[in-house]
Amino acid sequence: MKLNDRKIREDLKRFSVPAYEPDKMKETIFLAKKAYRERLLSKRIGFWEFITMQVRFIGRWVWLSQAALLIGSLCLLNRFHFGKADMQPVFLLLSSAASVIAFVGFPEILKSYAHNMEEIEECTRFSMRKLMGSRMLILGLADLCSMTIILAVSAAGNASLILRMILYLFVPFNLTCCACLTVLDHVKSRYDGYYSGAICVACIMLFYKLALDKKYYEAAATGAWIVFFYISIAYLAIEIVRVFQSFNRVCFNDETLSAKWQ
Amino acid sequence: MYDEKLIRRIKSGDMEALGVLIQKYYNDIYAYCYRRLDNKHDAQDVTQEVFLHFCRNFDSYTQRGKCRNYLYAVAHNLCINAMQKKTPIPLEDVERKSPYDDVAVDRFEAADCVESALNELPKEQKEVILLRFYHDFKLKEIAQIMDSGLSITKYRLSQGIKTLSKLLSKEDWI
Repeated sequence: MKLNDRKIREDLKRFSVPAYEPDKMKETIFLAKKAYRERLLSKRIGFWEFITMQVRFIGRWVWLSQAALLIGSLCLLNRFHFGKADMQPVFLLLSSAASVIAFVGFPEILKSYAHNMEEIEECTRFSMRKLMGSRMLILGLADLCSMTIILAVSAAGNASLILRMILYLFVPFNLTCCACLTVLDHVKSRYDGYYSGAICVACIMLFYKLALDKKYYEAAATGAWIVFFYISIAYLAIEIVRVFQSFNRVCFNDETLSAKWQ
Repeated sequence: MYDEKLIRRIKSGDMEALGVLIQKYYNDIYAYCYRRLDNKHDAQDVTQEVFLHFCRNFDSYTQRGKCRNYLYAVAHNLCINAMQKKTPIPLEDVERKSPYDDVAVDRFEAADCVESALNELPKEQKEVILLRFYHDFKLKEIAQIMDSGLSITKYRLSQGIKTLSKLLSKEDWI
């Protein structure tokens, strides 16, 4: 610091400021908190901000299960697949893993509904429909990411069979999702989570059984599974829209909301 | 606590963090406003308005610079507004303070002298001096707060120091 600056600084120190009133500071804090809360209420949030906000509300066990499933699948793929001509263990694994991946997310989608939370959710800032829709989107994207990683690792060893691998991965996944969404759309019950779980378990067993059958692979080669693939994607798209639209209907038809004022 | 951490907590809806941030900067902003407005009540009101503005426009505040600089920039603009709104007091009504009245100059008078000397400076020079010597801002930061160029800020500071040195050396109390 220059000598001149130091001298000026010392001189300026003589100009002291009177102490502020502590009550005024308390008032400022109170008003600032109020202004911040009002801003939160009137604030419009963007789509991705809403989605990232909802990610935090998805249970940790879902992410842990998803991660465990992915790591387990990759470990098994590494053990069975690489350096072996026989692809059956890989296909078996892919088919089973796809249904299990779908199985993990469904109870979470129905969490609020299954725990009688719909009245509270409806009173809050986001409607039940938005919440359910966001959960479906987040878990759907997470499932797709997991399956893409499994597919990429599987295809790394044998790229010529990638189309068949896509079919073995996505047809069981799509069919499991279609079955669960059909239940959600047509059976209006608090036990939909259990029904979905039961359907997923049935699908896992079915595809595991099919994977052991050699005809199953031949069907994929002849193109029967390609037809299945397209049909399942179309049906899945329709069901997603129907389920999404039905959430408000489900909530407002419920007896808890039909109670009259005494 | 670091400002970035506080801002992150405020963004996630933590009201306590907002209180901590206000307590952290209240005195600095108040002192700055007081030295510019020369009135305790006006300074407190403008300080309050600075924090309310910060809360209302929290979304537009991005963590690009320092939170402290942002608050001073808001205070700078609000002080200008407050000074424009202030009703001018006729010169004849102002009791001229003289530092030469008493030989034994006490602290109050010394402060009064410095204040008078600062008030002699042009507004921009006074503000650069305040931010540099009372609030320890770097020249680049002062330029950002005042929304002016770095070279003009340097010039204002050197001119301010020269004038202030002259004014203060005139006074016998130093």
